[in-house]
Amino acid sequence: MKNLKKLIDPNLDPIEIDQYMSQILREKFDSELALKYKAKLSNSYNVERTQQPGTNYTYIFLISALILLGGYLILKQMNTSALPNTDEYKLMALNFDEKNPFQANAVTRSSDGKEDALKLQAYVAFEDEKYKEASKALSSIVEKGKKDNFLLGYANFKMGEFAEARKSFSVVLSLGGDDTYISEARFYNVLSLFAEGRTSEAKIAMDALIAGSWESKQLVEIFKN
Amino acid sequence: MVIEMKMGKEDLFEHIFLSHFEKTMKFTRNKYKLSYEQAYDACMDSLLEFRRGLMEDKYTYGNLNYLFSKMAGQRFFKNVKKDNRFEAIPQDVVLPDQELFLDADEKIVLDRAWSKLGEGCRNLLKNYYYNNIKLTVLAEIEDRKPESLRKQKQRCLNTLRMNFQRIMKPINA
Repeated sequence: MKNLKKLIDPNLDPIEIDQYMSQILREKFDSELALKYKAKLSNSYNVERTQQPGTNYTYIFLISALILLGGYLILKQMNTSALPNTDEYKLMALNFDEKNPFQANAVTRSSDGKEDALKLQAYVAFEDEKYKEASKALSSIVEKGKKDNFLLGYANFKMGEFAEARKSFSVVLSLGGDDTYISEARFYNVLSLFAEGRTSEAKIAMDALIAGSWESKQLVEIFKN
Repeated sequence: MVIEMKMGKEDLFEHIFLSHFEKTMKFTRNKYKLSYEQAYDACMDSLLEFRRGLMEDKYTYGNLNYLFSKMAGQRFFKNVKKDNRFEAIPQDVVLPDQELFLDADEKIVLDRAWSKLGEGCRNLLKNYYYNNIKLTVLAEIEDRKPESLRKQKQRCLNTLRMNFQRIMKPINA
């Protein structure tokens, strides 16, 4: 916030205020113009930033229709007419304030004494919200189950390691089932994508969630305007 | 065309230059051996600069499309310099000095503070600071006294700065 802070400094010289204002409004309106030009280039001149494989109008029409349909469904699901932009999604995801952090329940029941000790250490660290320590212990577990993979992803999420977190959530989701870890993994996977600024992928993942599910409701609650 | 642009009518400008966008991309790609995306970004950046130049009466005659293409080349090398991917930049290319001022969080604060301004203030500040229209000219267009417009501009500016403060306070708390 250093540049905006300068602008609100009561001792700032009027000439400098004018210079700052020109600069910030130039950035604001230039980026809005660029979006407008991109849309016009795409709609009226068929020029996209990503090169098209060939001029196949049927293909372009189908893709556009799918994008519009996807956008409509996301809009419908989020129950809002004005969606935030990528930066706003990112900020909201990063500011996500969890009232009740996920608990590990520090009980282990396996036949391997060494693995048990590691798991116990990880779960205790996890319950104490020492996510770095928990992540280290969880990473050392050779045979990680669904729970361990989820806890590892969650610990990485809490540390801001969103790409790493998504790898663990993917493992959880690949194991399948219909339990808490699956729901939680879906939820944190979308949140990690938004936090990374991968808004398009996040929206697609969000769109794929079952409407009315816990994870879907939670995300709508976070990202509603 | 420039007079119309200053009055907020940009249809003609957009029609002429967006219709030449792809041609300029091709020229820039061939001349500087750019990827499709690099050429697109360079042309988009230079289109915005070019529009600004027209609004500031920097270009009055000549082959504007050639100028647009030339600027796209310059813009590409500026982007390259920013990314620090290459070391060699041709001697004949003049790099415009333009660095981004606001980070992502500041852009959000700006958008919110701006949306809280009234329409009159938004138009006045945009015309003065972004479209570079002098207060005397704006006063003439709106049939008002320049002094009263100057006072309004100051009030709008103060309101915007107060909005920044209000929005930033909970973020920084």
